Amino acid sequence: MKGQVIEVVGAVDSENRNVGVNNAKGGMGQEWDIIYVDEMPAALKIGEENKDWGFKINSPFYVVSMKKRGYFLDLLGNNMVMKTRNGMTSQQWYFDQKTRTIKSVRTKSKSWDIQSSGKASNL
Amino acid sequence: MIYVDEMPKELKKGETNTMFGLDIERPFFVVTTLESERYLDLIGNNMVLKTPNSFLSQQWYFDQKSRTIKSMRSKNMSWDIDGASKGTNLSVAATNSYKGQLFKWDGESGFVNMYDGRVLDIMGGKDEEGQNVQMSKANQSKGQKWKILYADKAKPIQMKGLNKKFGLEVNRPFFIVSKMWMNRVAECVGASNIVIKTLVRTNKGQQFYFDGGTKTIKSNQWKDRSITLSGKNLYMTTTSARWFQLFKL
Repeated sequence: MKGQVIEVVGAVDSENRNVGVNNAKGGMGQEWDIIYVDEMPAALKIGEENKDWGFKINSPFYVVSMKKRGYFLDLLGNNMVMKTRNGMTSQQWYFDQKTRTIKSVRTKSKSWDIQSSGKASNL
Repeated sequence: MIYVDEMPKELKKGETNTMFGLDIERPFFVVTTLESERYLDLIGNNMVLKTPNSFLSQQWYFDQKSRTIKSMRSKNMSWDIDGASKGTNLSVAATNSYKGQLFKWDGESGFVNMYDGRVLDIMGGKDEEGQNVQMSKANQSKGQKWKILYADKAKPIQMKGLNKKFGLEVNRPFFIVSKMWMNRVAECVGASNIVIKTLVRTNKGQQFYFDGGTKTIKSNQWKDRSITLSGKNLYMTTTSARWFQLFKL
């Protein structure tokens, strides 16, 4: 009631991040929805689309280059490269609703990741 | 001199003491006429202005025996001007019926000390949570104007529906959902710290509700605790309804 607003400290969207207050500055860290428990939408199911992210949940897909040869996104080790379609699961991906990440069908514990905690350019 | 057989009977509970302008042993709230219509309340033993919160610290009654105004929270204590009535601050102290404890209700002038004529005054006339209440010379300002609301005439505590002032539905559990990409929700961890975590619908530590009595946001798991501001951090602490527990949408 003294004019400050609730925020996720540092606007860091990570599990167990502290919630505090600050002057209103805008930004997603200070934006919240109040959703009454009896109005909370049901969890999305496999095959349904997460519209915020643009993917169907847990539905494997390929990522295909629009260039002439139409290479598929693939893995060499953990590095992402373009390769000819080969039927391997390393060319298949899916959107995981729980983590909101794109995972590899070949290695389901791993997700797309920009190196150096997002600071590098390699994927 | 009054002959014994002509001595008026002692006034009974519920009757009005016309000299003091108050009904006997009939609990009442003291409400400012400033916009917020906050109530006279106690922080410790000090008198301040606070949002109605259903605590007994906001209820008072006139005690015929001592001719003082007592606190429903602490019935052995009465309104008392600090410094044996020489000071300006107002608090409650052990009942002694000394001159700093004798007040009459005069609707026009508010609460007036019987001895020096000073009246209850909101410091600086500021309509703020926790603002101090003191004694001043009457100046007819709004900070000295009060209403008495007898508890048996007060509206019942809101138990459901929207509280328009705070923007939340009363007693209806809700999640506080971050709009950041993961849409994590606020959770009170161990009845203390508040963090964001992945939604678990059945976890009552992630559910909160607006309490119509105290006007605080309580945990649906630890119902004696409310969201509390401490420095820049948020915690769950025992409900006190102090300013640092009042949040509106």
